[in-house]
Amino acid sequence: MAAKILVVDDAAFMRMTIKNTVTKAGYEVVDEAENGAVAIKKYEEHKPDVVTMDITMPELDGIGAVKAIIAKDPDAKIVMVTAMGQQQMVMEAIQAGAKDFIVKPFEQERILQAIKKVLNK
Amino acid sequence: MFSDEELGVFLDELDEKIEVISDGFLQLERAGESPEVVQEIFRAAHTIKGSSAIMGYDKMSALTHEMENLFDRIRQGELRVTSEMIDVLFEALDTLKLLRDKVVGGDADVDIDPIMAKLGKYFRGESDQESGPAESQPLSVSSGGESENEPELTDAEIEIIREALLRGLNAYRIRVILDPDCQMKNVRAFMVFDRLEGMGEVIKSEPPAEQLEEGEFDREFDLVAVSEKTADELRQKILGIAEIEDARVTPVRVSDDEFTSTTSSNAEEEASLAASKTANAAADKKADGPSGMATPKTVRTVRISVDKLDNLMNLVGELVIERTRLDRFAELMESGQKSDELVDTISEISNHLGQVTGNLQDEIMKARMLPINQVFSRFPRMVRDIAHKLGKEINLVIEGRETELDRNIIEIIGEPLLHLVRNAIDHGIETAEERRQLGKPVTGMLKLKAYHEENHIVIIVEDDGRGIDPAKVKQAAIQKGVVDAESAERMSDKDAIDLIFRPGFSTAAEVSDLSGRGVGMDVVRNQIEQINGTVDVKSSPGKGTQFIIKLPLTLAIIRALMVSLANKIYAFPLANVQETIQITCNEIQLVKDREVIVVRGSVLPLVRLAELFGERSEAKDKLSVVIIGTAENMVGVVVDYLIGEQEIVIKSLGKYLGRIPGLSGATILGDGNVALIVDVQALVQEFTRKEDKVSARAG
Repeated sequence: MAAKILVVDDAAFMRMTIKNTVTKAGYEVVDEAENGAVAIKKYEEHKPDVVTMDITMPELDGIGAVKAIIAKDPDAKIVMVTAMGQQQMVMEAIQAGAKDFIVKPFEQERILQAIKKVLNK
Repeated sequence: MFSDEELGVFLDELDEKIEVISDGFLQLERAGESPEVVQEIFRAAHTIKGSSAIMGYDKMSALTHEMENLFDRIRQGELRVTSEMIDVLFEALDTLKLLRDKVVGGDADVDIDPIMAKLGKYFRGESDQESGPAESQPLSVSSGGESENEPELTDAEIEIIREALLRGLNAYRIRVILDPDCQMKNVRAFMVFDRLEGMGEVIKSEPPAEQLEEGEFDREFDLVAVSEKTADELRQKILGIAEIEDARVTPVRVSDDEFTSTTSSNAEEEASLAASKTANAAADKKADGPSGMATPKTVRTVRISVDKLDNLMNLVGELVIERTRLDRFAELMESGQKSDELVDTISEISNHLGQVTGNLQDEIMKARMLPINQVFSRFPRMVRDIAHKLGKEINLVIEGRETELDRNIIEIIGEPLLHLVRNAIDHGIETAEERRQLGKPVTGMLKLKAYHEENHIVIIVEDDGRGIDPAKVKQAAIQKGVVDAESAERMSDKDAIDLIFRPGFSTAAEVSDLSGRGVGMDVVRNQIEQINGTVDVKSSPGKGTQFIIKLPLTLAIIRALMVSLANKIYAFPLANVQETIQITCNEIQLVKDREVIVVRGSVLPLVRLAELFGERSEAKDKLSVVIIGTAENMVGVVVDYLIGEQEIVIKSLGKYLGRIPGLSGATILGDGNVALIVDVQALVQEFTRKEDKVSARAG
């Protein structure tokens, strides 16, 4: 069965890009969320195998969402999708339990490689 | 292909590292070998090697690789720095700069083979003579796998490994190789640390944790870690991280005799340096949980393109204009209506907005500022080279290198400064022999100094050389037809020295290849005036010369004198305005059909702005005159009315208008109208040149 992915990003374009990329590679995007708060709710609802998580979002940012999700499910596999220059925040997210990260703008293989690697663990 | 942004970052870093190397070489030459300097040069070469390889600049990578090798030998104590070697190193640096220029668009093909051969000769020759590098290398720990470039362990670290082995743990060397185009390398390194800390302990890293933290490494880094896991488990764990190409994990074994051998290592100092760094990192680690990289201590920065800053400045400019308009509006309301709550509120808002805009403007100005060291830093090398060539001994003193200037100004000021420095060495400072005979210190002094003064930056270029002889200047000026004998006769010494700034004048008795031909001090003055600066010279024969350059803090916003002419408003940059006077028509004299006025004994050409711009001026008996230019080149400009001083934001006239004679730009006024900015430099130049021909008869 195809791994289920939850795509979290406040930019519709990014969500679309990620969705297209992972869908083409055979994964199933179970849902999307446009901020951290919605992401937490949808994680509960779908229990996805992997979450791609933007950092800078309204309401609740990606780091807050990672903390909340990891608190409930320490094994959650979250890949941060970050912009250049957000090193400190990525480190924070990883300390909070995010499993990996990629940097925007990314080539398609990057996100696929990251997803594959977190799934293999 | 790489994006412009990546190329930009690459070039920025390249320049930075080239400077580190250049500074390092100078320090080696001046102060002799020191482990810190050698290490710094090594690291800089290493960084360039890595990034240029990624970018595909193979020659640059090859050259820096060779430099890195050489410095590796030096830091291992296998090679000593000689003065002959320094010359070769400088040659290598020049080649590196040529390669750099090629990246930014130079098309000359750079041949690196000769310099590669020279560099290679050093350490290859050296190691041939020795019985073999292995013996002199302080490697005390051997590992199962490859042994090149691996971090050396200090006694303390070996002790940790020994203990770990006793407790039944394993010790590993781990080389982590990132994907070639891996982004945020430092965070990747952080993740590797994070993973390993979960399974054991990282006891050493090369480069040290601080450098990894800053991303200051190539694609690879080395770690030494102890863990109860097997090599393969560690490897798999690391490979589970994205954008990591490979992780080579090899067990470390420590034997007794190897352990004792480290103490006699000649790289001891370096090793202990590394050890203390690791110790610091270890301390952080304990304080902050899983990793030594958890607490970034450096100031957070982002790189931002100059275009963006220019845009921001532009927008603030607009804001300044709107604020002025609001001020104007508030004033109107206040004068129209009496005190009214609405009026009060508006003027309060206007005041506050004024403050905020002012602060915003200051902050953005600051963001555009760069330390003048960007320009100064290239002089030590240049002075050294020229002094060598001319057989002069010169001590270059630089003061105030941290003084900040708008980056546009930094970009322009380099060239005139270069010219002044070259002149000082070439013509100013005497040869050692000459100085000895004169009873001066044999080593000449050349001083570059920058400081802040009110709303200006002052840069001084000073030497203790032979100075400028006014009599000789006069003679040369007459010979070259710059002035006629009669007016030269009447000139004060100061005025005579100022003749060096006239077009067509060159102080050099013979043209040397250093100070160049044709480009004289007039160009220096022009360049400085272009950025609304002034340059002055003071000199006493036999004692030295001092050039004083005054520059505005920024080019974008200036204070200007606003005048009106035929109901239109014009702005004169205040920096160029000497004074304003009122004259009556009968004070105007005619010299060779040109109007002049006499102001405190000086004859100034008079320009009627109305005529110049084809406007119809009001016929008045009293005329308002703006006196512009510098002390020795002044012009009086007749306008209709003086309005007052104001801060204006300079806007270009736009591409489709191109350059318009007499105008240097435009600005938008508080009421939304456009005012034109008068090109003072051009006016002064245009009219003082004519003045030369008449000045002999006037006065």
